[in-house]
Amino acid sequence: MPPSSLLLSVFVTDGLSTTEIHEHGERHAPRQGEPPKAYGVIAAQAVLHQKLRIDRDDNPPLHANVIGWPNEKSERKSIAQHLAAAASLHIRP
Amino acid sequence: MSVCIDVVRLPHPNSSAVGDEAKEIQREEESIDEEILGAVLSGAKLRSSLRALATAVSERRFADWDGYGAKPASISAMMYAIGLLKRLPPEAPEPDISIDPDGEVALEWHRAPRLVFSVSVGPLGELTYAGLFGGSKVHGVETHMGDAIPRAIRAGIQRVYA
Repeated sequence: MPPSSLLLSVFVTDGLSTTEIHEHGERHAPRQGEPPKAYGVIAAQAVLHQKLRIDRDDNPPLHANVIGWPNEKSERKSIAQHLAAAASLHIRP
Repeated sequence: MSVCIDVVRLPHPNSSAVGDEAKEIQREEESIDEEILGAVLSGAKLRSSLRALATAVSERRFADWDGYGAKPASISAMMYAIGLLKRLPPEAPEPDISIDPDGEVALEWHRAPRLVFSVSVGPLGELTYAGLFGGSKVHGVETHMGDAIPRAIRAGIQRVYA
């Protein structure tokens, strides 16, 4: 589910290895000083298929927001289920 | 004739019952046992769900718990979620419980990535639901729970495990 701002924060990780993605997350997306425990990968095409858009701002580097979420929460839940089904989870070793 | 039914005897291995009446009594015993077992399991499931709910609310009771401006878990939504959990049919598996960024309580039944049903319980008791069942999907809102679980919610849960 996107946060209340309806800006779902993501990183564009094309061409990065699993190790590089973990390192990028550690550098740019720490939580309370801790590195992310895992990350999920989803093809941009799956996002666009849900009529969402990817707004890349590179702040921090490679950062983008998934935008264009509908106002109705039930629709957002439905889209989130589709995205989750299309995503793969990578837990930090 | 009086019959003393030992309802706590589980299971009924190798009954030596013979005759129609004895077999009928055995069937009744098994039926009663299943009922009691169902009630016990249902009670255990509810207690487990209530514990998970309390943990989720406790861990998300402060604003911005997700680092993206999330609202604290709604106590009112929690109370309605308890009502929903109590009304779940006994055969419904225990849902995963979490808090949405808007503070609502989310209950999710998940069997596979494309076999999932989720209900968000709002602070006024509204139920926002979505389900993904293979190639089909449903979503919507039920505004009043009343004494029974709305049909759409019950059907969604059942479709996950059909």
